Amino acid sequence: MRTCEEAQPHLSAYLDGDLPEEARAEVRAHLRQCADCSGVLADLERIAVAARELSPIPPPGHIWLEVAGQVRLSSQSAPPAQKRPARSPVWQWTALAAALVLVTMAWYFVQGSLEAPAPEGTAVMQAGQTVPADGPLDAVNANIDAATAYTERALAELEGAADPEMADALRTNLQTIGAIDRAIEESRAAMAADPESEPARDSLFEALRRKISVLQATATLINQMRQGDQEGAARAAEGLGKKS
Amino acid sequence: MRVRISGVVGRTMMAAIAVSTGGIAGSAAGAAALPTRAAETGAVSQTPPPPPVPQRRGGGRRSDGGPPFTRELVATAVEVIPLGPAGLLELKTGTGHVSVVAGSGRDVRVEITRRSRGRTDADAQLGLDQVKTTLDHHGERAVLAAVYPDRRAPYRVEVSYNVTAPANTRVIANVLNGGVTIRQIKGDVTATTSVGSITLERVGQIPAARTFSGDIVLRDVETTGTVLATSVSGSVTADRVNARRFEVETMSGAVTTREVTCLNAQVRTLNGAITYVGRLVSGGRYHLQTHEASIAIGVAGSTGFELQADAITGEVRTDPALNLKGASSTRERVRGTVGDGTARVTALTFSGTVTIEKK
Repeated sequence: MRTCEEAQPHLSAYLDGDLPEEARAEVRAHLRQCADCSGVLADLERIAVAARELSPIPPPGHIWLEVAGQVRLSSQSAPPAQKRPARSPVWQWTALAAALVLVTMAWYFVQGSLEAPAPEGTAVMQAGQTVPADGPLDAVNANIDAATAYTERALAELEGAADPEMADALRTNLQTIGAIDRAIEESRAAMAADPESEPARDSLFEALRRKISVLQATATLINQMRQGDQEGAARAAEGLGKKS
Repeated sequence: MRVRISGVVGRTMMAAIAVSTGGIAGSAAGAAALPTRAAETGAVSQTPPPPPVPQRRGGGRRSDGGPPFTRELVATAVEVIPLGPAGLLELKTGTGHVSVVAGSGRDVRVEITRRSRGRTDADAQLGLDQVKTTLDHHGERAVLAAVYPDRRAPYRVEVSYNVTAPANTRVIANVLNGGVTIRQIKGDVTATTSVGSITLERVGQIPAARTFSGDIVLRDVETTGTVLATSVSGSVTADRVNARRFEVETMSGAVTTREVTCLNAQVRTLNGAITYVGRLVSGGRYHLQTHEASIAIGVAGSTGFELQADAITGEVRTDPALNLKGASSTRERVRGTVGDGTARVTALTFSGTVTIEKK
């Protein structure tokens, strides 16, 4: 494997130890001489760590690989970047976006236990589904939109049935989403003005992570409240402190 | 092993029922209104029950649009649990307060207050009849839980725990709607509430303090481990905290720390200000991040540090007394080293101001 194009499709399998020894040796040799691919591998490892730390229900192990692979392939279809250092912002962006997709997917694994179906007309990413070619961030946004709609619906059910006071408090919590959305928009604007700005990128992903975290935790809490399950609610709260 | 429902069997020392109307608890006349249960327990509580959980907007209303729940009955009982000096006590309730304080006795003593509200006395009584607590006690571990058989019932019952425990007891408190206060407990403390505030004072170990909606106060905490505090809507205040790792996250709320000493601090909020005053440790890592508010860092002690401060559309200000070396400074970005640079401080706000001062 002399080129990055040859090596990169095998990095996920390399990371998981699924490559035959001969192919593994070839990838290892390429990694020794290629800072870019070493950076990609490091990012994939980071996604794996993020997936392992997902809460409250980690997705099956193969899910992150599929998503990581799709994200990587969709990124390969993009125009090649200029000469860039190892772990370039582009790849960090991609990897972080993939991690966010994973969190969103985990959310859907969790909400699968809820009674209500996902809202109509919203995109729900399934395992193995290809990330849209227009970028992983759009996939994140589509899932965030679906999560928002679902949480609103679950909250409306809670208000009508179980505990209106708690629903009031949770609705107040969801109003923080407005502040998060402002943070996302401002950070995006800053990135548009300066695509290489690390602080702007950090700010954007922090806001995205928080939005998913609030939606995920709130939906899980609503579900547990409907079941009168304090322990489940405690687990939902644990999700707040997790980093994607 | 003991598994029981409170007030039925076991070592319940005292139980009492008081009746009130319009939210006023504890009247003797009210107690007389429930002769059957009063006869069972034989006493009216002399200890005032804890205050009810504050009602938020729409408190007491039901989704069916009917009249509010104005009739109220209160029952108290006491459990004495021989857990040993460092047992694990787990407290669970739906709506209600949890308060734990260290005592000099060898056993855990829990005063359980059930406060039932309904549109009629009969409904409120039904709440007391149906909402129970269960105690599952195995050696040095006990789980005290409120059991709500029907969450669509014509009553609303708060179940609160007022606990006195040996100082080294480990405590886990899980509440859906209500506050948690824990004082002087040196064993591990985990406090989780969905809606309510958390106060932890003079505690030794805090694996976690988590709330969705409510403030968190940490005061006089001394631990070799991690202090973790997270909220969605609420502020976090930490005074005199000494820990290896200090991790705070909230969405909408300020974070204020005074006299915090730790090896690793991660403080994040979205639209609240951060004030971090503490002593840095050689090799320590300190990250403070907000979006639309300011960050004020007060550095105590003489430990040197690398500084990386960014305010994307705001401003970074540094105290000349820091004697920042090798500084690369613009209005919105400062990089530099103070002293030997053995610690690392990073601060990021989008539109606020970052201020770093020597204390």
